[in-house]
Amino acid sequence: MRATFSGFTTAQMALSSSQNSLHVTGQNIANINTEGYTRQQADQISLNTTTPDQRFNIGYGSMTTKISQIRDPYLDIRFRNEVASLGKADLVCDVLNELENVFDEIAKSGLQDQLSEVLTTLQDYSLNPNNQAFQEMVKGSADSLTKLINQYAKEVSAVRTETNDSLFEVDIPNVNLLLEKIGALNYSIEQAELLGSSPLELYDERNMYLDELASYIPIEVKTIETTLQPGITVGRVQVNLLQDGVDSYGNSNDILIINGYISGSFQGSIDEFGETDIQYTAAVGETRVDTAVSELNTLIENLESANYNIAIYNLKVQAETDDASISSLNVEKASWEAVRDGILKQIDAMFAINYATDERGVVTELSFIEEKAPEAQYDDNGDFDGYSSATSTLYTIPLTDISNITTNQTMPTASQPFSVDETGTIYVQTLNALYPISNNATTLQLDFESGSFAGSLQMLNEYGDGTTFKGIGFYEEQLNTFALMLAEVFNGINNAGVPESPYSTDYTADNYNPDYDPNTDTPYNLFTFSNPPNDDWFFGQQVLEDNPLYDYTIDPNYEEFDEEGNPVETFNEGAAIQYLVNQGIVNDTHYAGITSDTMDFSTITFADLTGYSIDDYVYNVPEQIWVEAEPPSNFASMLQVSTGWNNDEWGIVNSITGGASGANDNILNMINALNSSHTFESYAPEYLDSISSPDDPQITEGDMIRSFEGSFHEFFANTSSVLGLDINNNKQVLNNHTVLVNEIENSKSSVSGVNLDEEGMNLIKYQQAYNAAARLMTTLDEALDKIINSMGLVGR
Amino acid sequence: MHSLHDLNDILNALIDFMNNLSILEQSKLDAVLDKNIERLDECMRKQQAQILRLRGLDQKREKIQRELGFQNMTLRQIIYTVNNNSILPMEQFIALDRATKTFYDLNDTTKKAIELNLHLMDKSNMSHLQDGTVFRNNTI
Repeated sequence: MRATFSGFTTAQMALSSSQNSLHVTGQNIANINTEGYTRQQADQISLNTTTPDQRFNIGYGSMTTKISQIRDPYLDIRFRNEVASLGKADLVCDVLNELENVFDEIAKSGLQDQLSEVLTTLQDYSLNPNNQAFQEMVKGSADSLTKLINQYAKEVSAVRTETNDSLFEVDIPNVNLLLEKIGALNYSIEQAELLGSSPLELYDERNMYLDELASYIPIEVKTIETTLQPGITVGRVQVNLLQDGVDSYGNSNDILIINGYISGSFQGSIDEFGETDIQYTAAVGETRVDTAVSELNTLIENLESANYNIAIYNLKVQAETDDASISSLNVEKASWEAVRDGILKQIDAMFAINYATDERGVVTELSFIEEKAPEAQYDDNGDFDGYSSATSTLYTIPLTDISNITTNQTMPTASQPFSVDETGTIYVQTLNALYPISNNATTLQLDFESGSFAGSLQMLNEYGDGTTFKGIGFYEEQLNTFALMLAEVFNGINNAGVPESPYSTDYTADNYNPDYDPNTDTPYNLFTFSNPPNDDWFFGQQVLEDNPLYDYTIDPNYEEFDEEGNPVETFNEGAAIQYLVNQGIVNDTHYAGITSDTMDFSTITFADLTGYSIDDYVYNVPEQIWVEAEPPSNFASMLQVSTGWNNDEWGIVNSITGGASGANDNILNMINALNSSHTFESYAPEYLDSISSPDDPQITEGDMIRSFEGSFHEFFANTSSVLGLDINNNKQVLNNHTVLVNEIENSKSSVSGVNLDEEGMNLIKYQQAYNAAARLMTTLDEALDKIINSMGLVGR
Repeated sequence: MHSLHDLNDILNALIDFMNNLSILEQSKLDAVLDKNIERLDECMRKQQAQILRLRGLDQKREKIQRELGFQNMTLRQIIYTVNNNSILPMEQFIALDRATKTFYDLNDTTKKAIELNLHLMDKSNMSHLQDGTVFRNNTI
């Protein structure tokens, strides 16, 4: 039986619900101009109870359960992906625009005009070859030309410095600050959620920061339901930095950069080859380290519970994934003994451990992958008989009925063998001592597909050739090529026909200056470099060098003997392997996950390599290999008129035909050289990539391809034109991304933004609802009034 | 028998083709952003016709390559092999690459814009369904 006065409760709750909705509408209207504000709504439910003995149920009104935000996660994800692409395109366009300012010869007179000036003065001089004043004019314009080339080179170099500084001093610190802010917000949000409230404004702030972060780096945001206390679960936000590919276990290479309120930081550096790198260092005490330790401990405990005796020696552990849930761990040079039911299982090699868990997180199965490196084999006579092939064996040990096993056996290690200190160093407690097994070696090299970091790295590191992306390096190389060609062509012409003795009169084209070197300040060079380039002047050039491994590499059967007949060790395997690692021929996978940083090359041998046949290499080591040249000097900035010409120790050789005193054939040669076509050479990208493996076809010096054939004017005009086309293309890319980002943003606003018309309509709707609820109360009051005050009065 | 000049002609035709395709793709993107189904439909029809032309050009290119002994080689490899800038200039190859990249970028943007519109339409349909349907626990 429904209570007589229950209707009043219904009316009161209806009033309250409508009032809440009106308040929320007011809050939305008040925040129409607040940046990042997400439209809110009061979520209502109908109150009802089910009573079995009633024929029908009448509800008890409505109730506001919570205030929620109206967001579309799809649009958030799309926005963050697209804003990362926009960030990259935007930065590339900015840098290209800076370069355009350098190469722009329409708004200002520049290199092309100065080349014409040199041509004019040479023409004047050719008409007056005996007049020194005209040669001085040539020298003056040549000097201006070199200074202009210097200036261009310095300006391009300034663009590089600015881009680097902007990355290191502004962008990276900004991102680190964002990581901290998001981490701090996550903490505040978790605390608020623990108390049962919904910190909507904090969500908005966090979303704003996440959107901003996405413009720098490609990210993926996940919410993981995390139980903080029994019965209290919060959505912990994790942010992954997206990386290409998967690791050897098939896990994503993505890097967890924010886990709840814990985050690491990015650092920038410039390596020995002048390439800019960005690394990420995980925070001390980061959950992934903690998780690795705790899961290892659990693993050991579970093994112990399953009647295994475990001994651990010389253990090195490294988390293979950056995910909070570590699914696999690599163990280097470990020696494990697992005994169960009296059977000893000893695995003494590099191997990986995997374990499977059930839905409760209990370890149910342990698997060892034992990888044995090739071993030297000997025939019956004891002679070397080649290497065995590498083997990989999977041992799986199911741990069944763990819950029924109560007898624990003593482990030789502590029951909690792993620990981590405040510096992030992981320790293992063995019977004898506490050994550090890994320091906080979580600095990771990163690749960025999108975001402004990707744009910066692309502009700073890619030199471009053919169809590859043309970064700042391409324009530096163009100027270097131009400067070098100018010096080589003019120095060559001026040195042709120069007599061995400056006092000789034997001027013939065949009588080339024997001391001629186009790059140094030797007689009769007109141009030189303040710091002469050597042969390795091409940007990113690969050069042939003696292969240091060649000295080590001998037939393993070959042995030298000392005077007493004892074998002399002539093969330093550790050094050879280190060299192979440095060259990228042998990589980390050959050490089962141990990086070359942690490898002790003084002790390693070929037998320690896994899954890698050394035979191919040992017997086929080339005498010379291609290695990357030293980073190029920016020698376009060093081009100058030679000191000898400047000091009048020598000058332009007017004639090489030995003609009369007024002969000018060599000056005409120079004029012709300015107008005629030259081959400006560069190397094919394949040539540059040919370092990777000795099996790759080697491209020799003769395989230089011409990057451009034309005059000096045309070469420079082509460089400007390439830049113009690149700018045009990138502007289009930028425009496309901008259009799309705007489109998504509009869609987001239509879902999450405050619309005054809609809120106005809501005001009327909730006001009417409120009025109706008030009317209900009046009606009920009147009904009760009738019962109480007007009924049963007859006869009184 | 074809010559390198024919290959160069094909390269030029492909560059023109990709540039035209990009113009069409830009119209397609504009139509998507304007939410103009008729224009989008028209662009798609034109593009299908263009794709047939591309198939023809590609077959011709393969035939010429086969005859010149460059079967299964990329254009870049051919240019390096020929190493004759006057007949087969590197610039042409770069221009083709540039035109192709421009098209792909536009195509990607258009695809994303279409996906976005589809998502919004889906959401809108769902919301209309919820608003316009009266659920009853009994039938009248």
